Amino acid sequence: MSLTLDPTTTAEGGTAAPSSPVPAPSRAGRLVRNTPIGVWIAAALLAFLVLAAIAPSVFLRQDPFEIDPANAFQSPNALHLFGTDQNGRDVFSRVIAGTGQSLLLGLAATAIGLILGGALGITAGVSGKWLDSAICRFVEVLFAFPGLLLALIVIAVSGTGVVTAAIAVGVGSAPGYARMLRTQTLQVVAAPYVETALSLGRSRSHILWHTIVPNVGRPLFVLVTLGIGQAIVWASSLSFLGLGAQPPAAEWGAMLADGRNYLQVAWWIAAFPGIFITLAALTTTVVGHHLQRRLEAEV
Amino acid sequence: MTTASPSTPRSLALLAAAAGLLLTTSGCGGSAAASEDDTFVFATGKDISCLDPHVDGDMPQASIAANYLDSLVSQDSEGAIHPWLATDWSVSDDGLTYTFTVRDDVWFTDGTKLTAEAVKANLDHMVDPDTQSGTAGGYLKPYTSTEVVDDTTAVVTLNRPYAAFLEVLAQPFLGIESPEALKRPRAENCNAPVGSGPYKIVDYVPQSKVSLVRNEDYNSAPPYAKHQGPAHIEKIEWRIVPEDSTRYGLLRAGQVDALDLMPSVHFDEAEADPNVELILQDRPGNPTNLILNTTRAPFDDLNVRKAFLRSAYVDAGINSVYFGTVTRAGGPLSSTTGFYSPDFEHVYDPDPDEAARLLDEAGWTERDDEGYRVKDGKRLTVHFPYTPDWWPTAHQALVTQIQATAKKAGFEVLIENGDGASVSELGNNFEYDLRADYWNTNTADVLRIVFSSEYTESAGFVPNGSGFRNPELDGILNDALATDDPEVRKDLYYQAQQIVSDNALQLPLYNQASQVALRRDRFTSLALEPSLSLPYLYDVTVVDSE
Repeated sequence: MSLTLDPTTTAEGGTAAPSSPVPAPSRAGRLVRNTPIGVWIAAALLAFLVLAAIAPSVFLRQDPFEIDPANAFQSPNALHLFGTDQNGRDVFSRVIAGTGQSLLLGLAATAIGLILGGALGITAGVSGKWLDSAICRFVEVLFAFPGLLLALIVIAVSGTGVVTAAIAVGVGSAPGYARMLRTQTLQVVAAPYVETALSLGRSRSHILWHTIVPNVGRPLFVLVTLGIGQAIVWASSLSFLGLGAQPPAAEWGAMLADGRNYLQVAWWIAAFPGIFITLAALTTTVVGHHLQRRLEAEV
Repeated sequence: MTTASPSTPRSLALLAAAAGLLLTTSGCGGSAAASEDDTFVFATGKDISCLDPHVDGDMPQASIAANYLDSLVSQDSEGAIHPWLATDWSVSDDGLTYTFTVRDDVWFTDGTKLTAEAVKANLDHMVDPDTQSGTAGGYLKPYTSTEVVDDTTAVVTLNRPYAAFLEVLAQPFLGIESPEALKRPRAENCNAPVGSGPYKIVDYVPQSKVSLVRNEDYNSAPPYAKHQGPAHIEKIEWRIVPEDSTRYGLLRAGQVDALDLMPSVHFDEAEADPNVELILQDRPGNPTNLILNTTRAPFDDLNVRKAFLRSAYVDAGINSVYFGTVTRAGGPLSSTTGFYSPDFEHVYDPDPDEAARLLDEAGWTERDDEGYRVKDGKRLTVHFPYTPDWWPTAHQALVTQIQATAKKAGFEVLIENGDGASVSELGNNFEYDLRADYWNTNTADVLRIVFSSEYTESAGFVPNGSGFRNPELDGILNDALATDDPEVRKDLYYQAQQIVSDNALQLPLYNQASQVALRRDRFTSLALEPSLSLPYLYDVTVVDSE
């Protein structure tokens, strides 16, 4: 039901374009024409996920935690759109209920990664050679570990749970952000307006906070959308390994892990959470890339 | 200007990696070719901490030990004790001295000869605190010392009568290892223990596999074996495959010849498969259970313990996730244990009203906005550290169901997933409210191991996870070991079961069972050794291809 809703939304969005009568293309008209259909679909699906995250009750028809052993392992049917799991819980309700946690985990982890990476990257970009190269070497050391492994190290030190999973994924993604933001900062520092500000006699801290940080921060929105997709996949991986959300939490990665031993007899227990992880990561990535291209075009 | 941002292929690679997790965690990686006639591939479902069964003492260790160690005595399926490495023994009238005569013609696979000295070295090794022997050492608490009289005579002295002594000696946990090999450091002996059994360990890759080859000089098969001399199959590959569906998939694909911990969800399919033989046997001992820690709140309160037992719906879970492949246990003993009484099976059948009444009586009268019971501003929380890897998939679902039904009564059960090491540490320090447990042994004396105050200290593992200390129960259980009169023992063990049941120390779930599947189109005569019903590969033969 929820999935078939999305193409119609896209169609409506599509019909909106010709209806704008202005001969000189308006901003909205340009937006519609310059946006490929795939991006619209992704945006619609993402909107659906966000809605499910903010107001799961719109879609929930059953309690995601209510067990019903007598009705375990039911294949998808009218009452249980995605079937029931090994405890007779409604898989659709659990997937919807898990959306909020998965997206929030993605957002929180990205925010943590950005703050850590930003602090390192911007400091490196504005500092002198010595501190810059010290930070760069440190980030390179972190790069020697794959991000997920870095996250696992954090989990090993601080224990399992949703909060530590967010921190772990954040730390795991921080080196990437640090490198990106350093490059960005270097470009901003070299820009004429910084030189102008300097020649106007502004203090160094004033320039940092009022000139450099805002200009570095502008493309962050794009980074965030791209990063969330990655963070969701990583956070789900941690829960899949039993290191993130704890039972009976309806978390996609944990549900995938629950269902993997039933794949041969009840594929739906693992398949639907898997599809939603893929959807969340794909839609945020597609939308993020589109925004990135647009931003580049505008610049 | 954003050259450093992630590219699409990288993001897609991450997605692929996530999907790949499904495959990579399954631990496959064996050869695609079917196994050869001269190699028997066995897939075990639980990781092995140490190959020497004296150390720790979990079932996977005994399983592999049954195939490379011999024991002093053997037990038949009726429970009677027969000679094995010991040809003869006598017990003193006071039950404190056992004189064993051992065989003169048995050699360990490192060339050491079996002597009375080996008996002493082994028993001393099991009780040595450095061995950290939870099971074998636990069984030998009444052990004082061994005196070597001559090459073939060993006199074992106990500090109290121990009617179950010979029974436990028959278990592979107390198998006899080479005394020379035991002199090596613990870690070394864990990786390459040496016995006198039908196979010897030649290679061990932790968390992956153990390779064994036939002991060509084998001449000490137990009375329950179907033949004498060397085993029929030349090599055994003992593979560790914790993932249920993978293990079963390997059997179906013919990449393994047998497996244990047969996944419940595939029972129907396996039963219908003409190529698969299921070998099933309930085990004696203390059934699979959740034990309640009585040493701290909230389970220090008897009413709260009773309320928890009353809140749990176990039958529904056994039917739904185990598909009836295990038998429900109700009392403190598995139904196949000697002196088992069925009187305690239904004492704590689910009863939400009774649970509510008990909790009210215990002062947990309020409920918070999530529906949990509250007392003095504190929520009724039950901590349950749990290692999913240690348990079948169905067990993980069952504990989730118990969590859900306990919630209705107002308990907040927190299943806290952790790795084995951290969960064990919590277990050794009584830092939990619930612990998932079982204890397989061939005697009702298991009650003493699991519930007497003697076993509330850690020896690598704390057998009495309830922390229950009751002098009356301790006395009854020791009295039961001091007599040979079956009627007296029956009466004493009945009283013991009564006390354990009255005190609501465990939520019994189901009887432990050996559930082994064999590719009968390739091999035959896989038996279960009688003491613990462990897979015994000595008699396995290749099926003639016609």
